[in-house]
Amino acid sequence: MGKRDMAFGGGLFLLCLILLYQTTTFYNPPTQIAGPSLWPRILLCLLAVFSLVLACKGFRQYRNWKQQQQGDEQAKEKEVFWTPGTKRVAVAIASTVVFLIAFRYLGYAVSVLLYFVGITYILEPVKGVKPFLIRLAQALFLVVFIYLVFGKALSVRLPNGILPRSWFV
Amino acid sequence: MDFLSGLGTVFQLNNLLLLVLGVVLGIIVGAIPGLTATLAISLLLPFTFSLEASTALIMLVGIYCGGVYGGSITAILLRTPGTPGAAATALDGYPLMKKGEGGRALGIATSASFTGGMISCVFMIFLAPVISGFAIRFSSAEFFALALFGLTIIFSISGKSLLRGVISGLIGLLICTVGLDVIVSYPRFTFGIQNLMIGFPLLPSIIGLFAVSELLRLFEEGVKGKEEVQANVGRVIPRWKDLWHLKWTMIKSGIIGTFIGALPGAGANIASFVAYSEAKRASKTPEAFGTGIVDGVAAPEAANNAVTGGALIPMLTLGVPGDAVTAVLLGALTIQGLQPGPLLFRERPDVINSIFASAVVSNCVMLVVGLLLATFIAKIATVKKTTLVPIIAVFSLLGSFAAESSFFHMGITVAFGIGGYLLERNGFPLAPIALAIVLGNLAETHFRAALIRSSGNPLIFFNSIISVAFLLLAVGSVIFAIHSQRKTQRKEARE
Repeated sequence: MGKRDMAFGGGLFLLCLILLYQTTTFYNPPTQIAGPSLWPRILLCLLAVFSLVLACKGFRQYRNWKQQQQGDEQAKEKEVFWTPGTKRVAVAIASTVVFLIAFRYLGYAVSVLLYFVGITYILEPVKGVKPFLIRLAQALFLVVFIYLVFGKALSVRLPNGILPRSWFV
Repeated sequence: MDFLSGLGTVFQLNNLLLLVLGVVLGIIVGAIPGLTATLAISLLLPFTFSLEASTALIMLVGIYCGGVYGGSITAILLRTPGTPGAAATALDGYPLMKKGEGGRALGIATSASFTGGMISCVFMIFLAPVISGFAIRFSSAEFFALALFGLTIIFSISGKSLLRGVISGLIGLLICTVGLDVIVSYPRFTFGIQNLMIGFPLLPSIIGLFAVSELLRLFEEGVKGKEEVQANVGRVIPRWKDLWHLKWTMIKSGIIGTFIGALPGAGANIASFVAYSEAKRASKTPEAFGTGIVDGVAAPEAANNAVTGGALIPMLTLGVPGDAVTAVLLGALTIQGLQPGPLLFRERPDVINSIFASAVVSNCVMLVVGLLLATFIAKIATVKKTTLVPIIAVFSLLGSFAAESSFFHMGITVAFGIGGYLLERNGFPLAPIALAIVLGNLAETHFRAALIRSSGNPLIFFNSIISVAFLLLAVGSVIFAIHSQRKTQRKEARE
């Protein structure tokens, strides 16, 4: 209902101001005609203007929506942000961040195994031992496949983490 | 002769195998609803890293051609277009399937895709060297005007809202300014982070924007039931009578697709609907369109595959990508240390000839694979998301890690993925960001170089006819985009 545009436009406008201030600290030799700050300044000024336009449009939409709501009490509805879909996305993002950390410290094999099982559970929770074992087998297959593609074919040095290096040679 | 040397490179055993692999992978990813050719190329970019430039591009062109065609398989068999460009194919393809003529529809779609692709290859092979020969004389001012024209494509690929498209484009251009300045090597917006000195690396950024954000969207959608593909669709090899009947439809649609593909911002989805409308207009039985006739399958399929060769013309000759897929392909050239544009024709004719030859051979491979394996590929394409999503997620993240064994790059991929998902969810298109990331450095370098050469006089951009022509084209493209958006809005309001 325009609220998001207001927030996004306003936030972006503020960010532009901060970055514009940052450009004043850029090195600019007196003889330099088109210095390092010229291009970013042009872009930031344009972005600031368009962000303001977006925020204003959002405000206008929000005001119209509010007026309509006052006229029709029954039509009052709240915008739902936390749908099951957005919750899944939030959990997936958190899992991915955990995966990045685990990848570095636990190694690729353990982290990929855990990530695969975790992500499949977020997408489709299952109960029982058999489906869990099937997914575990798929995850193990993926770990081996990654080793063959990245480790062997592309010669990427995958982090071994807590597992001994000799397992991956 | 040059083209023959390109064919020689493509027919080297390892190149040919990689091309076939590229086409097959492209068809599979293209056939999976929701996954596009852009995602296929972004995802497979890391695998081309260790390859020689020509070999890498041969494979990527194979993925591109296969990816565009793949969308038609699920459009016909499941009424679920794998790519937006195959939406028009479903209009007559699925009714044909319902009539029990799914195999016939698949055969026509494959043959039409091949014809369209080959027509566009002919145009590309003959036109591209002429355009590059002209563009080689460009100065900095002219290159800036050209880059500006390329950036105005943002207006035409902005989707529903121009304002959001422009904001996306400006965000992309700003992303390009992070890191060492291109002329005096001064660090900008690095905030003391050493890894940002070289700016945001292209590969992790593109994988994040197109693959990770797409995955997050799939997470939001959740898992729906697996769709079943009918095993027996009948004879797929097309009958000579059908092909003869459709010859003019395919040729005309191929030409339409090539020219629309060469236009900045107009992609396969526009070309297929234009060709479909034209075939309907020219038909003696226009009322039969939509009920399941082969003309309605041949026209959009010839057009959307012809877009591939058309879109490669401005990308190779001027270094200006026409859409998100060619922006990613342009990025692939840059990653290989090649600067797309007229100089590439002089400095690396081997690469150019390999690209030309691989486009031709990819279409031939696509024809064979499509006719023999279409229904089998459709079965793979309907694999459950529960299995598919984690595999793509792991490959995206490891792909960004693989290039430089950098954990920082993985972080960038995730950050771009989250940013891209949030932007897209709020109506901001991602294609302008990719386009701006690819064109940003070119625009800034030539803008500043021209100003330095003219001692700061901005009139340098109006000194040559070519530069003025590109600037006028840029203005024209903005006006056209604004006009067509207003027209659409008025039409929507009336309805």
